[in-house]
Amino acid sequence: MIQESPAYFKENIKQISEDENLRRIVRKATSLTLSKRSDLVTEYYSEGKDWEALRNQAHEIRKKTIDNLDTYLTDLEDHFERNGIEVKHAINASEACSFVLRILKEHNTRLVVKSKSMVTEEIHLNDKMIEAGIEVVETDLGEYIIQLAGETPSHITAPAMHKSRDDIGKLFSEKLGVPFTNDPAELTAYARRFLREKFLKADVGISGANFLIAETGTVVIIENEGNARLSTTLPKLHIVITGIEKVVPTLEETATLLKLLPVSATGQKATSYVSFINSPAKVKEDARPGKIIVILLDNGRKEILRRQEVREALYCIKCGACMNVCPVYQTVSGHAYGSVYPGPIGSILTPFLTTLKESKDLAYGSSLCGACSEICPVKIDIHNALLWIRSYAVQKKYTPFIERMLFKLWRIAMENIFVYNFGRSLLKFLQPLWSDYKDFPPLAEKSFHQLWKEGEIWNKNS
Amino acid sequence: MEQELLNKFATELIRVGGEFSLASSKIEILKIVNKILSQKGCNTAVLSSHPFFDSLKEMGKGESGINIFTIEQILSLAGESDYTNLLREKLSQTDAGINYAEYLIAETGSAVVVNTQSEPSYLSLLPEISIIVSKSNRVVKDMSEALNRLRTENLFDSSGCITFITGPSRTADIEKVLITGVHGPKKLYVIVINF
Repeated sequence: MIQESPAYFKENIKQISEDENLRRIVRKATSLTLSKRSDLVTEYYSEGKDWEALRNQAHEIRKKTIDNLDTYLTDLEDHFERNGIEVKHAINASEACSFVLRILKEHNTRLVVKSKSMVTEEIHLNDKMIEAGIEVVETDLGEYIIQLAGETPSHITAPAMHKSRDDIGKLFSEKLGVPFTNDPAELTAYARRFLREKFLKADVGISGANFLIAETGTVVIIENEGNARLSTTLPKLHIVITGIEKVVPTLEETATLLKLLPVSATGQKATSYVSFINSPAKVKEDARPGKIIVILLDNGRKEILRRQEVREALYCIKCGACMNVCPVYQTVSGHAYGSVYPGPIGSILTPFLTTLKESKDLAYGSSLCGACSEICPVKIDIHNALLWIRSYAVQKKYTPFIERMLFKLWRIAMENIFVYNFGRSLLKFLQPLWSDYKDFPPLAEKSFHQLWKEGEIWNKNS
Repeated sequence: MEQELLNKFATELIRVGGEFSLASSKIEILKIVNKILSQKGCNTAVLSSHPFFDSLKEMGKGESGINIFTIEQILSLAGESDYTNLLREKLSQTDAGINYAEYLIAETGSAVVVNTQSEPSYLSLLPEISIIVSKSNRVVKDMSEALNRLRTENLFDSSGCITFITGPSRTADIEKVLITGVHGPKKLYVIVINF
């Protein structure tokens, strides 16, 4: 059983590492997305445009925004109000959930349709709504699949990445009572039919947001399926739940980020739909929700803002490219992390959304190769932030006692040649104890030190 | 320059699974629409009430036996009853929706649809076939130019909701296999009139 807690990272990995089928599916999906992305980047250069310059520009936009977050949030809120969009601030998950539940109750809600939103996963909103007796339907195909399976997303942009077509076929025939098929087109058609009915009956639509434009008071939602458009236009009430870091100062700057996000996320120049939602319907002929409420969530984000060493994590535009490219993610896949946000960026965010004590192991789930920082469209220095979290965990004495002692001994040995030589002579006895999972490299006959003394090094070079 | 942008737009649209046609006159738009509708075996279509279509309101009638309603007609049909419900019902049963795009974006092959009372958001979303009409002098370079133009022409702030549409509705959530028409249109046609 995979545990939904970062404290079980190591245990989860042990279990998942035995599932070769899962690794095959995840590797195939991540490498396909990566190759589509790199084709587009190559094409971008071939058209005489500079992808690297675009990344730098995006980094500057995100830096400016996060460094002046309070100013832009005030600006955003003013413009939301001018446009007739209500705004609420939630300090943490439970406050956000109780806002939503209160609103739903006020509107006598029976059925909620949801479009994909990681923030609602973060605050475990679905459980709360279901407990309150409200029917909740996820409408993104991937999210619908995992909702039927009773699971959590394993990737932020491809939530059902870990499921094979056979898994999904079985799931649909079991839960929806349709004849078994593993044909993606037929499965998608079933979902369309079942979900269309829900869309038309829904009282409230809940979505996240990709960007919130401060100067115009606009909610921007990016998607391919059309489920976000349906969720945000058919019901009478639209609730947006999103993090405070999603603000972008201007329309122009949003355009820059819009160029980077789909390429990095799914290897597309543009997704099928980009919706710019400015205001609720003013008259019935608008045929859109008459009310829009935006809930801006903190939930640990201000703590990240205060920590200079990890602040860049708030630049994240949630493309998921760092997950696709990470050799650790490719091997262990999303559920192992036991966190809503898996992979490299998730390993920085999670300690602040939960506690460092329970999630410190995540930062060690990285080879520090830097592929994440290299692919990041907004140039977050991900691997160095992970390194900082490790050192901070050591400082806080969250690492095991025995580990800290061993490193103390190591330091003594490294500073004294006699202790070092003595320690080295013991290595051959320690070798079998090294690890159950890694092969220890064979020891050389003579140490470098001995070879040097005997003049062997010079002989070889001459 | 305009030709170059239009070519780029057509290339990108086709790449994302959309279909492109060029019309030399408004009458030709009619012909193309009718051809698409009859090819696809459509019986009903709903037409936007955008002023662009004013002279084409009678389009399709008699020629192919396809019933074309306009948004205005649905509105007057609703009378005192619930317009939104009627609109949903009509658009759920209709085969095709016909929209006007304020701009076309060359770099990405996108159509910029401003959702208003004369063409509400459902029109380009609920029917399985989406037909979008625009003019050749409305092709812009990229998203940032489209957003700038929307603002300078006072379309951005005045509209409650604007949508950039790039190809048909799609998903790759099952083993990364691309499927179109998951929640929205299966097919997207863009007709550009030379202006």
